[in-house]
Amino acid sequence: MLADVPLDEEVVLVRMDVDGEDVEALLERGIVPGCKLCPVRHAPAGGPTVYRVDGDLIALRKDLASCLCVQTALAARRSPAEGRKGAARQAPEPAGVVDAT
Amino acid sequence: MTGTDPLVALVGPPNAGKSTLFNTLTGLKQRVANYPGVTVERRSGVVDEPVGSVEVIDLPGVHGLSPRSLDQMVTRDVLMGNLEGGRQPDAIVLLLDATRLRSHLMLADPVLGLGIPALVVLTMGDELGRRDGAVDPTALAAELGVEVTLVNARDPSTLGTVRRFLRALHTGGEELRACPAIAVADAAASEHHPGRPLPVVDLFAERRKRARALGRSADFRDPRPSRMTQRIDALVLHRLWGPLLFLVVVALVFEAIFTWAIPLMDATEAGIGASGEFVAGLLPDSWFRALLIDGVWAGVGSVVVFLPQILILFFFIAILEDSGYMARAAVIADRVMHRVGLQGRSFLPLLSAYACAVPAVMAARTVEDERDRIATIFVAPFMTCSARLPVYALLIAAFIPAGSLIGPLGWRAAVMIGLYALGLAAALVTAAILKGTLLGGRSAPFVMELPPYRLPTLRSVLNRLLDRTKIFLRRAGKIILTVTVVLWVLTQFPRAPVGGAPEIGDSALGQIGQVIEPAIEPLGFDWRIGIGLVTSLAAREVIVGTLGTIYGVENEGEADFELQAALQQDLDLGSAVALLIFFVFALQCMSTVAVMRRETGGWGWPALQFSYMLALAYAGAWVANALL
Ligand SMILES: Nc1nc2c(ncn2[C@@H]2O[C@H](COP(=O)(O)OP(=O)(O)OP(=O)(O)O)[C@@H](O)[C@H]2O)c(=O)[nH]1
Ligand SMILES: [Mg+2]
Repeated sequence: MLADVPLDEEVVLVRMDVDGEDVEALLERGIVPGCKLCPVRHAPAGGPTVYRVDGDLIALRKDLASCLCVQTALAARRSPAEGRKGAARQAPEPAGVVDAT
Repeated sequence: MTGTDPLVALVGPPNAGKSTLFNTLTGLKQRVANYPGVTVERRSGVVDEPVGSVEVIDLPGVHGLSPRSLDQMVTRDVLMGNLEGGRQPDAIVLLLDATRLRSHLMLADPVLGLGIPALVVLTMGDELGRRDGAVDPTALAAELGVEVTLVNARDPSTLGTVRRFLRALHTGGEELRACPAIAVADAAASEHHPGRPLPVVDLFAERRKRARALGRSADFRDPRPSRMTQRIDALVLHRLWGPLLFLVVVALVFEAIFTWAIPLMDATEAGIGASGEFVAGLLPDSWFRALLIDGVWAGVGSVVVFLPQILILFFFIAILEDSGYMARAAVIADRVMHRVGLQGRSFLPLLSAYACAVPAVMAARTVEDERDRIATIFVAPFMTCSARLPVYALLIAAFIPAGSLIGPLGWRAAVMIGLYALGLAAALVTAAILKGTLLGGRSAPFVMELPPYRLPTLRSVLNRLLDRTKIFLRRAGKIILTVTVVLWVLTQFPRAPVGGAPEIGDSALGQIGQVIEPAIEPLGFDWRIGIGLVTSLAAREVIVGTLGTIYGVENEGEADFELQAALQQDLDLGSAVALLIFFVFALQCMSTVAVMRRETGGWGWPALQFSYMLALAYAGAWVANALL
C-alpha cells in the first residue's frame, strides 16, 4: 500500500482499488498504473502526505493512499507484466467513455 | 468587440498560466494566483493586431474534458460550442506547463483531438531553463502536427509565435493547423478492443504512455526539483514549525491591520474632512448643503476611511496566494476540513470568502463532489468577509483598549482574531451538522497539486489591490450613497412646527426605528443601531455609513464629530460585543443571497441559510449582552 511506504522511497503504482467516481481525479493528474511515486513529506498532525509523481507534487490523504497498491521500483522492473494485469480489473466508467469519443 | 472577430480559447491544466497569458495579450486584469483552480468562469478579451482583432477567452483549468466538475463543464461547453448563443472557437491555444510536461502532455490528445486548429504553448520556459530542464518545441511540433512554442507567459517579448498564430486567423496563414491524427492514443486504444469502450484506467494508461512517447521524442528533460521549494516546504509543512508559522503569519496580518493602517486611515479621514469643509464652504447654506455634508460626506466618508485596512489585508492575501503558500495551507487545513466532512478543496472557496462571499460561492465550483459543493457554499458566508472589517474595526477601536496582550500582539488585534475564529468555528460546526444530516454520504477524496513557490509579482499584487479598491469604492458609491441619501431624507420629515428639521427621534426615521426597537432591545441596541441593522441587510458595511449619517445629522454644525465617541455614548461593552457577534453570524448581504440562488438552482438553500444565520446571530448577541 502506498500509505505504508517510508519517506523518500520510490515505488511504482500497480493497482488502484478506488471507486469509479474517484479514480478519475487521480488518473487525470497522472497517477496511473505504472507511474512512479515517492512520498516526500507528511503534513503536520496526521494530515495528507505529499508525493512526488513524475516531477509534480501532489498531496493525498492516508485513506486514499491505502487504496493504491504499489511495489518497489526494483520489483517492478523484474515483473513488468504484473502491473497491467492488475489494472485491467477496473470497472468501465461512463465519464471516461465520453472522453474517448 | 464585434461578433465576427475570430474566437480563440485558452485551454490547459490548472495553474498552467492561462490567465497570465490572457492578461499579457489583452492588457486586461484577470485574476492570477499560484494556486490551481483560480479561474472558474470564462472571461473574454480582445487582442488588437494590425490585421484585425481577435477575441480571446480565458477558461477554467481542466485535466480532461469529462464533465466532472462545474468549472470543467464550462471549458467543455465552450470547446464543444454548445454554450448559450455561443459558437465553437475558431482556434485553440493549448497551454502546458513546460516544467510538468510529463503529466500535462496527457491533455494534448483529448484537446487536439477535437480537430480545431491549435497552437501548443509551453509556459514557464524561464523556470524550465533555470532548473536545468529542456524540451525541443520543434520536435514536439513535428510529432503533434501543430505548432509548438516555448514562452514565459509574463514576458510579452517571448510571445511572437502566439501573436503570429492569432494573426493567421485573419490572414489564413499556414500556422493555422489542426492536429492531423485525431486523438491518436484513444483511437489506437479502441482498435484493440473493437466495439467496447475502454475502462478508464486503461484509457488513461494509454494516454500516459502516449504522453511519455511524446515527451521522449521532444527530448524532454525533467527539470530538477526546485531546491527553494524543498527548503521552504521543509519548514512550512514541518510538524512543529509549520502550524507555528501559520499562527505567526495570522497574528502579523491582524496586527498590521491595526498598526500600519492607522497613519493611512488618519490621512484618509483628514482628506475626507478637509474636502467636506472645502465643498461646504463653496455652497450656500441650504438643504442641499446639509444633505451633501451631513448625509453623503458623513455617511460615505465613514466607510471609505476603512479602505487602507482592507488593502492591507488583501496585500497579505495576495502575497500568500501568489507565493504558493496557500496551497500548502490547504493541505494543512485538510485534516480539520475532513473532520467536519468537507475537504481540502473547500479551502480555496472558504479562503476567498474572507474577501467576499460572492466570488467564494462561485469558486466552490472547483469542488467536484456536489454535496461538498453545497456544504461549502452554505458555510462560506460565515467566513469574515471584508465588508465586516469596517464594522469590526469601528467597534473595536471604540470599545477595546489599545494595550498589549502578549508581546507585540495587542488586545485589539487579539479581539479581531477572535472574531475571525468565531466565524470559522461557526462555519466548521455548521458544515459538520450539514454533512451529518441533509448532505450526508461518502466523503470525496482529496487530491491537491502543490505548485512550486514563486516570487509574487508586483504586477499581480498591485492588480489585486486596484481591483479591491474599485470594488470597495463602487459599493460605497452605489449602495451606501443611495442608502445614506434616503436615510437623510427620512431624518428631515415631518418638518418641525417652526419649519426646520425635526428632532431626530421625532423624524420619520426615528419613528421607524422605534417600531424596530422592541425586537432588538434584548440585545442592548437602541433604535439607531436598529436602523443600521435594517440598512445593513443590503450590505454589511452600510451600517457604518448609516450611523455616520444619523450621528452626522444629530451633530449638525459640529464639523468634526467623532463616530467612535458618539457610539461610546450609545452602547456599553456588552451591547458592543453583542453587535460584533451579530455581525459575525448574520447573512446581511443581498448579493450573496442572489448568487447562492443561482449556484444552487433555487430559493430553498438561500432561505434556509438566511434564517439559520439570523437565528444564530440573534441568539449569540443575546447571550453576549446578557453575560457582559
Ligand atoms: N515563471 C513563470 N511563471 C508563470 C508563467 N506563467 C504563469 N506563471 C505563474 O504561474 C501561476 C499561475 O498562473 P495563472 O495564470 O493564474 O494560471 P491559470 O492557468 O490561469 O490557472 P487556473 O485559473 O487556476 O486554471 C502564477 O503565479 C503566475 O504568475 C511563466 O511563463 N513563467
Ligand atoms: Mg486562470
